[in-house]
Amino acid sequence: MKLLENKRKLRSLREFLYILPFLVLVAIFAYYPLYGWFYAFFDYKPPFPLTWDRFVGFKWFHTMVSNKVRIAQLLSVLRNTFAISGISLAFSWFPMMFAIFLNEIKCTAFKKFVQTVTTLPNFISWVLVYSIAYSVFSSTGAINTVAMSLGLLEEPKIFLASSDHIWLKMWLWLTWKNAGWAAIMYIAAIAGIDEELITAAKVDGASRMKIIWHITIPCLLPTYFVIVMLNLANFLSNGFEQFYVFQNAFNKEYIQVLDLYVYNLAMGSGGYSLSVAVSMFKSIVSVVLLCITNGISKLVRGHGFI
Amino acid sequence: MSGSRQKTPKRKMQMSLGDRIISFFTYIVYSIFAFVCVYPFYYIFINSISANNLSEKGKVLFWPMQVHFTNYINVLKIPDLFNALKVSVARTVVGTVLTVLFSAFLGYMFTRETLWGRKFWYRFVVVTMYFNAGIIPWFITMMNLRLTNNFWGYIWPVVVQPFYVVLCKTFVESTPKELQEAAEIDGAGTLTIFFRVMLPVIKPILATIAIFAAVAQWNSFQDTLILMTDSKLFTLQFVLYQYINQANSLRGLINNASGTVDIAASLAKAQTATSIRMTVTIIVVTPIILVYPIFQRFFVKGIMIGAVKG
Amino acid sequence: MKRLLSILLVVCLVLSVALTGCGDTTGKGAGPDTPSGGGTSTDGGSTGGDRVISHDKEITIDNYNVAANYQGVQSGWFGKLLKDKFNITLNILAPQVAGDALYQTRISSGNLGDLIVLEGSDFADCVQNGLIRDITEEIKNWPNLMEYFHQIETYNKSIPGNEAGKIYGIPCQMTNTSPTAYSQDVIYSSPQLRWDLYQAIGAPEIRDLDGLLDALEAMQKIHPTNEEGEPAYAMTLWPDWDGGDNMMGIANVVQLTTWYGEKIKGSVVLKPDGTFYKLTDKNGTYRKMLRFLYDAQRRGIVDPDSMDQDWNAVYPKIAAGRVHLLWYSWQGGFWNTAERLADGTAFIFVPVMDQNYYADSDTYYGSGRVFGIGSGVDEEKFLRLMEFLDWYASPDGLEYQHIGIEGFNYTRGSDGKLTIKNENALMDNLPVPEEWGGGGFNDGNNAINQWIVDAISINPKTGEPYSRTYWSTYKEATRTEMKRQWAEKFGAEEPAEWMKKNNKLIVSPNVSVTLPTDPNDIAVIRNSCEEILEEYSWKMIFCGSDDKFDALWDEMVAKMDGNDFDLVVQFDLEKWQIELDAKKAAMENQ
Repeated sequence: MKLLENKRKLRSLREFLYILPFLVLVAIFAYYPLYGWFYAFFDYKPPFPLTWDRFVGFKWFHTMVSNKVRIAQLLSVLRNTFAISGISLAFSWFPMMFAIFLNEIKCTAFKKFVQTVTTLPNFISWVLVYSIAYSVFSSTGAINTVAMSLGLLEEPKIFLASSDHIWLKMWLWLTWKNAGWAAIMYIAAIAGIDEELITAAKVDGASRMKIIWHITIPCLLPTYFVIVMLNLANFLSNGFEQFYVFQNAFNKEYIQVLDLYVYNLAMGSGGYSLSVAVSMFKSIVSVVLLCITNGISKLVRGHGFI
Repeated sequence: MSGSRQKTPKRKMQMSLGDRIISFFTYIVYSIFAFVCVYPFYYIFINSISANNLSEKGKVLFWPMQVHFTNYINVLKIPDLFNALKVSVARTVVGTVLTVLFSAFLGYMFTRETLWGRKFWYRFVVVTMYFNAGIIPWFITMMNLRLTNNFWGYIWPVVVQPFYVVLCKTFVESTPKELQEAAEIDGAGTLTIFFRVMLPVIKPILATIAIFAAVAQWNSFQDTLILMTDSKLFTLQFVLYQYINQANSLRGLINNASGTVDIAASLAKAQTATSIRMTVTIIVVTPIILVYPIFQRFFVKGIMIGAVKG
Repeated sequence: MKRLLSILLVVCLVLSVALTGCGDTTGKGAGPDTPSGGGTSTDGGSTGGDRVISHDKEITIDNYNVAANYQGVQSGWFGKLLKDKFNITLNILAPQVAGDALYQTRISSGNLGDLIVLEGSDFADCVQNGLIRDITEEIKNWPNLMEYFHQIETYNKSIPGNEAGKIYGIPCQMTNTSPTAYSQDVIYSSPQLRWDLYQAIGAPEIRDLDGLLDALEAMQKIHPTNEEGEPAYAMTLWPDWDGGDNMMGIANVVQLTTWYGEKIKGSVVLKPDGTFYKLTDKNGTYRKMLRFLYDAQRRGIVDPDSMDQDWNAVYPKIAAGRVHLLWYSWQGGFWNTAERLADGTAFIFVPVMDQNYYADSDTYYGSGRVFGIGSGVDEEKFLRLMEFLDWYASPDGLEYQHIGIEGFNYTRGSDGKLTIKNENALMDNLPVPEEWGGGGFNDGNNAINQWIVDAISINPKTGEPYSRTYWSTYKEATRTEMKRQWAEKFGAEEPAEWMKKNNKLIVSPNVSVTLPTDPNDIAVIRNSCEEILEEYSWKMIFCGSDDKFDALWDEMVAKMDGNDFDLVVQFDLEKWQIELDAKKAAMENQ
């Protein structure tokens, strides 16, 4: 018995040795550079070295709320961030459904075609996306030209410099760009479903909807949940590129998300400490959110996802 | 691999009316979505081969006009393009192979109940997904590790990606437990199980990670900007980014050229930033599109337990 | 599966081996091809003082350069020139390409580069932190640099903490004219109209901004579309250049303030009488020019896409004749071809009578950017760099920088005067003959993109400026009927001459001062206020009524003031006063 236990322990340690090199990589490239968070507490400005007389404590964390205007700005920025992240989360099932119904298509050629081309937008940079959007939606763009020649519009309509439904529009652009790409994960997961289950259901005469509902979706849920949880922890990060290219004076109030706001605020080399402070804050919030969602998951589903 | 060639027996089952309607709508919706995705790409393509002055004005919407290939020829004239392509291919292949292997192995190991400190180490890896330490400590770390101006600077920092590890672990967990148990009873060790039993089973997720990792490596140029000053190590993406950037630099030029108005003006005329951007996009995406179907073959199903047991 | 895996692994190994291998061979590969270059390069080396500097060893110079928009090795004809003459390979590190991060990371490693081009205030910071090499002793050995010693010394004395007057930096774009002269034919920003359209509406005298709007409205009425039937507007605006240039506010407005003799300096405005006022002053010129654009918008002569387009969408419109008013001198370059200049359909300056134009004088003391040598270079490299810089400031070097290759870009007449050849070499990237290095002319052009001596300086070899548009041969060739009509109507040969004659040009003298950089908290407030300013400025231009315009202005001012804007104003007042004092001193010395 003892022999067996020793053997177990030995094996457990041996397995740890297998993963040790990778843990070292993680420690070197992810943990060690974290000493850079020190910069958040200093008034760092290159080329002046980081000395103690430049220590400013939590000043950069306060900066965002240092006066009424900033507070108002921060609130509106957070509102936008929450709205846009919220819409994304609410529709996070979209890529999964996309993959499920794609899988239902019988015609292999069509299926492969759709699967390939829907990943294309992912490779078009946001800058280029905007120039396409401009040529389609500007006052002399395709839509206005067509609508005016058909007599649907009297005057060219300005689409891009308007804040109407801006959150929804941003979500549409994002979905257009990412849905096909994100679906790859679910397509892989569908391929991993045990064929025998489906064959058995078919023999029992289950309809396609039934198979989707009772077999496919439950099999995809673990992947889905993990991705939702990871995204949830990333709630404060929307990236700034998309919003940077689409922003203008008329939609700025509703389009400025946290990442864009900080980018604008910390421009130039003088903003290094501030941007480190914000990314540190975001890291901490993310990890806390991760713990919370994991805890909730444990309560609700009986097990955590990390 | 032999499994993918087997033809699934033709289904003779009658489709219900509901199924037909669903099927009909599926085709419609996917056709529309596919169109919305293809058209912009088509638009980029026809603009990159149409006369630049027409394209700038947004005249080229449905078919190419005054077709020419100067944009592509100019890109091919970039010095050291071939070397940059070699570096890009090398980092993509090396980076992808290592990332896939390492992620798969870690993902698998984190499902091993026997692993010492399993939960802790898993979390140790996963939380780093949300870390951002800033550019300076990262650069200094890379410099101290002698990874600046070094090809491996493209590889080592990105081979262990928490997100891929999570994906792999989730996938491994969804495979039937009996697979591993059976192998263990046969006396297989941890590594044997991974290579002999797990790897073939988790092919779909490996293909997914391979696609993600390959595209990330192929598209990356930020690391070149900061880490590499040796032009032998410039990547295709970097060289093309540079090319776009030069075409886009009019603002920088005239801001410091109040004394050289004529130069600014004549350079200004040569600008076709959008055409260049479009050409570059086509050049960069084409290899991906060509390689993607190869990966798609790994998404086929039907080689699960049965195949392994047999 | 296993086979696939092993194949992949093998490929991976082979590639990595091949790559390390090829890194070595290509590294040497640059060496072997030196015979061709090396042979010509050893023209005995040049002398600095009584030393002979050997060019036998090939060196690579890392050039950290804020002016460059290309990162990598200088190639093409200029690359070959450096190789042949100095056996130097120039490797450029460009923050314009790589972003702020490049500065931050290279500073943190303690070595910016061998040859450094920085903005003056950053340069001073780097001198204080020991990143720049002292060249006080060495510079005396180099005659071409010593030509400009007065300016170099003046600049270096202005570096804080360098009262001893040690030499660290060499200013960019110095001239050999004078600190109060204005030598150019046109000024950076002034109203320019299509000459044919201006004639078509009767060439009225334009009294003020309202008169200008009347004229533009009339022009749009008779010319609502271009030849291809696309809509044309009096003016088109673009938001993507906002901010920067040391001026707060939207780019399309800040330039217009110079039409009334004022110049925005950060958050304050410098008046012709030498006093400053806050940018957001209700009676100030920034608001006045916003109002001008708003009035234009109300008259329906502003392109409705002004808000959502970027510069890349604007210049095709100018090139297609869809815009009637230009205000940057270089913008004409998109439309004014030789034929259009000849048939009188080109853009040219038309005076607005109540205006007074502000212009910065010749950059006698330099443009504000500085060349320096990194503190990390060894003795040999140091000498070779000094030798290079001396050539870079010599008439020979300047002809290469400002004109190009003799025989390809210009020819020298028997009277010593130059004549332009292959005028479109830069624009059309003409192929350069193999003997000079091959490749496209623009591709191989000097990527340092910054000069020690400005193109408006007099070339001692010809007695004319380096810039080709000022050559007598060029002026001869470009006298057109339109130019003649213009000269007749306004009684002057060139716009700047008209302004000088009519006392409408306020030339701000060039001085050499080092201004402080923003402390971090000022920088953050500045960015934050800039955001508000830009957002509201655009809203004001495109709002629907005068009341709304006023309300938006008040709201904006309240927001900016609530956001500590006054701290920035205070900082800027002190900062720019330094420059102003120097300018006043320069005027008095004159």
